[in-house]
Amino acid sequence: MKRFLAIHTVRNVYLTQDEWVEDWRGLRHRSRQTPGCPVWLTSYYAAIQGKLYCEWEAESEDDIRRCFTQRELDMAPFESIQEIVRMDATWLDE
Amino acid sequence: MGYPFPSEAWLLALHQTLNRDQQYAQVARGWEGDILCLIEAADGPGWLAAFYLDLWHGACRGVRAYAPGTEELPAAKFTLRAPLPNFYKVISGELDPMQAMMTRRLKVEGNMAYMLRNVPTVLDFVRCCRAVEIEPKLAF
Repeated sequence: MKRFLAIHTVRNVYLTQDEWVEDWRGLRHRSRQTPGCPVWLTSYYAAIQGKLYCEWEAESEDDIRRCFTQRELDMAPFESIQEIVRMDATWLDE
Repeated sequence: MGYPFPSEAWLLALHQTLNRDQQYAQVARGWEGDILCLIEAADGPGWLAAFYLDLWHGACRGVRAYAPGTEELPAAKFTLRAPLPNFYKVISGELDPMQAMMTRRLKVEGNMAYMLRNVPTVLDFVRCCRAVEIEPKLAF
């Protein structure tokens, strides 16, 4: 599996905690049933800039795109999806 | 000096901390909203303590602690509700506040969009909470 960084521009934010949690949980479950079984690993949210940086494991960029509902894409459309490689800086301490 | 948690003494110490903290004043300068924290019993219904904080533009304008049995609690812009172990873990640094909200270990009633747009303020508020030493330490 390859690793990808998906960058979203956050246009609208969930109004309630339940809406937020249920939607994100739904995305995580939905991804497991999407062809290629992409895995949403983690996210970083830059609140001031309104950006969401999400790390995915997937076979292709398209597999990631297929996990999202139109509503989710309207709320936080993709700015880009880039294939990345992880480099662990803590190894530099050895 | 440490303060028992939950207690009015801890809340008053937090009030002082928030108003003395220059970083909080700067980060939270745009925040407008009071918070009611309902600390629930770990097992069973009801709550052990309720803390009200009037937070406005980087300052804490007032606090009030409520004992169980209080009939009317103030209506606040946000109500944070969690069992004592979860609250304690957040304010002692064991549990990340965003992770607590995302997993509903800390329940939030109020405009989540406002909360998420002001994550730096939320995190800095929690940093100030963590600066108030708790004594005795609790174990869960």
